[in-house]
Amino acid sequence: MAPEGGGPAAGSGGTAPPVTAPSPAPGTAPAALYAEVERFYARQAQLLGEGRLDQWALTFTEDAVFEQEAQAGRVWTGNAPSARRGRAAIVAAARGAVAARREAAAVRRYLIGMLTLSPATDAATDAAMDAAAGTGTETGAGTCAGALRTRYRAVLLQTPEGGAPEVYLSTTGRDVLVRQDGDWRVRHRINSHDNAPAGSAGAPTRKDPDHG
Amino acid sequence: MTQTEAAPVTAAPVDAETYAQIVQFYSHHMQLLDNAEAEEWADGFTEDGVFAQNVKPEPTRGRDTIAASMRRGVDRLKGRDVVRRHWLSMVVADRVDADSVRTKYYAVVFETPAGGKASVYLSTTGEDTLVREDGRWRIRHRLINHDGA
Repeated sequence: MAPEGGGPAAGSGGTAPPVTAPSPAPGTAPAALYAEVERFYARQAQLLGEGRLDQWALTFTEDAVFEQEAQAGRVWTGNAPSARRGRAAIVAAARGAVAARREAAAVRRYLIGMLTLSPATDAATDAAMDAAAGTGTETGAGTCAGALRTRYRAVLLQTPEGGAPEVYLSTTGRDVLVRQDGDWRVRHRINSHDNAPAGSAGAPTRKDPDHG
Repeated sequence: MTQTEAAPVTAAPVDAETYAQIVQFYSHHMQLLDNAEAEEWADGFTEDGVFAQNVKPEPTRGRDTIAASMRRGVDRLKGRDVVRRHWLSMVVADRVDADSVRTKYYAVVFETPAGGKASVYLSTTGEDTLVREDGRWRIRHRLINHDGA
């Protein structure tokens, strides 16, 4: 990512140390891009927490894939598959979770933190991008202009009506984000629950009833 | 903003680009720690880096010693089948000179046992001196204060 020119020196006093940002280390995004992605996640998380799923849906590409690596044995009638393919399947799974939460009169807040991002240019991403042909995000030859690979932690706080909040779940997220129509969208998400058995990474075959 | 006679809230806040670099450095640093990559995590300290905690009688000195100590820590955790996630936030960053920055932040640790429920394990504050080295940020001195200790 291109180094930024840096901000102007604070004040005009000749004794002030230089405050221009040094060149970033590889994998460090310019401030504007990092802030843009942080705001994307803030908005996406709020939409889900508020159950505004019609708008939440649009934060995924039409052909997005949402995989979950969650604890085995937490199967719930009507549960969605752990790998949801396509925006419609992703939203359907979320609707089930939001409805169950409403029935339980519980409020959930999704907090995202420890976000890192890097350009998505490796072969695996290219393969995902190949599937995106025709969406206007491709520059050709299996690359996707401006696609990002992100990693972050996500914590769910849950508060029952009239009760005390609790840490409901701690997870790790790995996304591929693409820009479509001027907005960031998730093309691929892998959400791994911290309480899943060790070694479940890369084997998204389990089901989780509770994640919305 | 106009300057007044009043004392500034911070002495010399870093510019937006530097702040974004530091926040990303911390995010990556915490990911390494919680992914049990102790040696890569320790590379975030200078060779003569110091890691002090208010719950330890003596600070750990030197990158190699810090790495070895953290390696023992993460291996111990693995043996207990527990996952921890360090969340660092509320970062204040003031420039000391052209190549160094002093930060203060909060760090909250979430813990999840395998197959169990997540909880808040620890709340701390941190104070680092960061320096530029080899085109990246590294920690020269870290002090972690556990709340309630």
